[in-house]
Amino acid sequence: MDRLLFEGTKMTPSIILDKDAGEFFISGTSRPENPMEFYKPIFEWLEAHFESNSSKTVLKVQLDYFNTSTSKILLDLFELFEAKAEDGQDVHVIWYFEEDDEEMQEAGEELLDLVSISYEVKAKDY
Amino acid sequence: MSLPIFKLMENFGVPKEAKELITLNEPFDWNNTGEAILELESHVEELNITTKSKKQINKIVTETLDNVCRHAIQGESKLSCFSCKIHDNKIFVATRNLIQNNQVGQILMMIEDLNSSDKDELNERYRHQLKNGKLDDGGNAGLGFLEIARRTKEMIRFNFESNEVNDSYFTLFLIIETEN
Repeated sequence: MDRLLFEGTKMTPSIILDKDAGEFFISGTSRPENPMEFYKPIFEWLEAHFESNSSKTVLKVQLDYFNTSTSKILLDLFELFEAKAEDGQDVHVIWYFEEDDEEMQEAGEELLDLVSISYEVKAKDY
Repeated sequence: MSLPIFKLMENFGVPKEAKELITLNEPFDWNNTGEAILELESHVEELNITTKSKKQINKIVTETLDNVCRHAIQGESKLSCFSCKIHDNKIFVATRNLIQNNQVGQILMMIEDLNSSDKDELNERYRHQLKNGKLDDGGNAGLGFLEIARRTKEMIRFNFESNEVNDSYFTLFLIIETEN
């Protein structure tokens, strides 16, 4: 599967996993009723991607809001990228926030400070 | 029988002239609490407060409603309620739901512990739980109350009232100070 797309809803994020581009994009709001069930296929897809990947992989996160259960899932996701970097994969995470959204900036910094990984936390470009 | 919703706020000293932003008074599920969050967000967007304050309100309210959805005794006759009001620069948030009596002691100890911790301790504990905790089968990461405590300047207020032999009403009351 080269491309996986989840349409966003009022409480779940939009997710695009594009193997050809080596870019993975999560955006919108994340408050799923069952976070493990919702994110499980994404983890499985990423694991399969890294099995056969030799080029750079970039994860872009651009969330307006997420709950604390999603915080845990996001950290798990970053830890997966950290593990793959230790295995020699070239990975990078970009965390976007609205220019005046200190909360989302701080949330990104707090999460990404917990992993040893190449990352940027930056305001969205328009 | 659950108290009328307006009593939720009165019992914690919220001024009568405080303006209601939203009230939900029915069995909670992810759908109706999701709608309530979106409706509240639209009301909050119209307030003349900073983006940071708006995000804090959204974050705290979402965590309180998540908490009710995950932990309350639910059912047709098991009403939960939620109310959010504003007065001057303060947002008042209250939820009320049924819990098992055997949960009372654990919740009491947890909130008293959070209330006796300063913000640096709460931030440290949050990060520790985030890094070392696990999501349980119900999707609970053990972070909700920590997040609420570290984002509210005032202490978490609460009470328990016996309902039937095996359950009690748990009321949670929070004050969020906003900035212009």
